[in-house]
Amino acid sequence: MKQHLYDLIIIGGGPAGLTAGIYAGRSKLKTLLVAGNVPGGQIYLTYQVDNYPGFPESITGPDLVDRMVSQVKRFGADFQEQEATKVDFSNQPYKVYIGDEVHETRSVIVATGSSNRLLGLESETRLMGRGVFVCATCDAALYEELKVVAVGGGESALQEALDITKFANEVVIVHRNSGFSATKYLIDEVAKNPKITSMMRHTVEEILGQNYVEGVRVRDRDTGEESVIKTDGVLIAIGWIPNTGLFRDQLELTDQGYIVADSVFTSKPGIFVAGDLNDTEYRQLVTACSSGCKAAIEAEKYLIQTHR
Amino acid sequence: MSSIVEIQAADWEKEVTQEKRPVVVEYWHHKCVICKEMKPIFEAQPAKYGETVKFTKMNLLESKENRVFAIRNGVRSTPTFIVYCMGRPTGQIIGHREPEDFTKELKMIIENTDSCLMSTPIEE
Repeated sequence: MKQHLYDLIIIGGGPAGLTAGIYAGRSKLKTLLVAGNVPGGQIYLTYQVDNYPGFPESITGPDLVDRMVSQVKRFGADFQEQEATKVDFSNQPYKVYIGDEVHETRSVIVATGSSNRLLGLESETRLMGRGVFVCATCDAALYEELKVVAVGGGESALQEALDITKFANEVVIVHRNSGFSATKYLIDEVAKNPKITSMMRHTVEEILGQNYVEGVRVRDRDTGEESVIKTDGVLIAIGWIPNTGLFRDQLELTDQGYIVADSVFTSKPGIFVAGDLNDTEYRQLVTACSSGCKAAIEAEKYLIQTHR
Repeated sequence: MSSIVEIQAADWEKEVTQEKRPVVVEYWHHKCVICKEMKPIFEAQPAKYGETVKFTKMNLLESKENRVFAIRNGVRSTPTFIVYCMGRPTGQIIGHREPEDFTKELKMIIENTDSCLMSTPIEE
């Protein structure tokens, strides 16, 4: 069993964790970044990033992540592309387990982000990978000249619907509310895209098909009337659930499963939170980076006050 | 380590249909996260079979022909691994698996592809 003592362990390899890794490495903190099997988080699943300053010609999510990872490594943080399997925050030094390995640390930044929320239908589970998908970047290419129903009305539903039109002939957005909750830019892009139509105030009741998706049964929330849309694919983009299972008995969580925090400070000294877990409002790439930066600076202050 | 052959839809006849041994095709692309996760696991497979099984992969972002071909073959998600016997699919694995599970599942599909295995000279 290997054991190390770090100044800081960052759990999560999305933009928040990676930014924290850059700052901590640059401040010469002995840092371990536990980035998960594939670093990058939600941004890795984005085809085109148009709103990150400094990339006027836009950049793909995976390319941006590769750059961030190189930058973290340049400043000397240890980098592990594995999942943390257990944590013990009961006493100092805190412990983070990666399988058989235990790593001890004086401070922790939790930046494990969030995963796609699903509709919870039996048909959704059964047809996942057979027409049902959650990541347009991953699977949009398999809808070349086909039709896709995109479920959801937020920023990512609209962005992903637009991404899918690069391949599909037709995209129908099904949204339960009367209006989209996204930036005007995206709403306008969707409105002027000839391949996209929208069905507002409709819910998906069932995904139809034996071996592959053949359609969805939707219900009009005003009239209660049900109808079937024939489709080859169904993208689910209805929001996120926080990845906090690892911390359930270790940190105070809200009813929604988010970590209770004041700015980047959790209820435990030396444990900080950053990224989507710390932001149910904006959830942007730059806001994730911003909180990663704040958490790393606070971790350094904490280490100076308590241990150095 | 035996290599994995990069194939295109246009080479299908030559690379897959005309093969007398089982052919594993990974439908993948470089922006697919799970493909990246599965890469080392898939790359570890050819060494287990020597020349008795052919391993290939088709990049779906390489051409529209590849995409349309994959869709016609029932691929709806990446990565999808399909085992073919003279061009006929005999089993598939869709998405992520743990290394041991993938190896076991693939072995089972390949073993069930017996018409291909029987026609493959054992000495090879």
